[in-house]
Amino acid sequence: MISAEETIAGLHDSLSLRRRVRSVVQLCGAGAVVALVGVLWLTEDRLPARAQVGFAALLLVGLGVMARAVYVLRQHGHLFARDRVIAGWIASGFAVLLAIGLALAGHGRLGLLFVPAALAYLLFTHLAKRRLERR
Amino acid sequence: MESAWVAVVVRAQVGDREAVAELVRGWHEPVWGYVRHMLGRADLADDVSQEVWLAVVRGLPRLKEPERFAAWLFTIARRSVVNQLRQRYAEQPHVDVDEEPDPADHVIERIDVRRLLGGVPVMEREVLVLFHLEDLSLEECAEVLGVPVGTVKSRLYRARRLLREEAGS
Repeated sequence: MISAEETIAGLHDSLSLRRRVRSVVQLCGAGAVVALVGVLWLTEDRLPARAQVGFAALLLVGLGVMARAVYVLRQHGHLFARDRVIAGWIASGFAVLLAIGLALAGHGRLGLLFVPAALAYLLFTHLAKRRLERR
Repeated sequence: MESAWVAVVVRAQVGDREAVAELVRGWHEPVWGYVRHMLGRADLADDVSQEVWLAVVRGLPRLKEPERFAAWLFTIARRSVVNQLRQRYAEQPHVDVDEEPDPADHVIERIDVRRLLGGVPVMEREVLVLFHLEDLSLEECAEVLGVPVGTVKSRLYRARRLLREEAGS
């Protein structure tokens, strides 16, 4: 009979916070790059063909990284409450970076949409965690 | 389920990895035993119980009612067992019996149940394992099996009869 300790060892990968956080960082980072490049591509006039090819390549790579991160997160199952709070902080950090990037590119107002959304998610995760801890 | 376990489940849902390990230590043997009795092979029970715990870790954050952890856990275990048994698992008609489980009937020593289970058909074996060996309530058995409590009673009734026949043979 397999022992409980062996079973726990077999769950190590699924429970690994580092692996989950790495996937969240990849998802948010790639999402920010995709959003930034996408906005620039859609709003910049008269982009040279070489720049458009570069943007398309960046978008493809970004979408590929996002898809892989989503797959890995799904494989590990749903995030625990504490992990979701960490994901909220990561998403907020990338939303701020995205907003700065968009502001530098002359689309500051657009960037302001992402930050409140990320902060709202962060607040939601905090409240959900606190609700669970009170049980 | 004891309230102490509810606290451990909640801690695990928050993200306390040690609480997850505690759950595995506390519930590994019942799950393994259930799977072993249903599949009849220890090596398969090792693989399937590991699969069950992976599914538990994946789904635990979404468990709405921690106090129903035991039923939820055995529902997952049952799903894995059914997947394994799908080839040889045949639906069998059930007999509805309104009467409560007979107290005289349940004087079945665990050791006897374990010894005789192999000769009992899968559906009846399952309800015997859950009710007599894993101490799940009728309601929890019904939840795990996805049938009404009345059906659990009728299966228990039939299972005990089969067990008696098995003991007499």
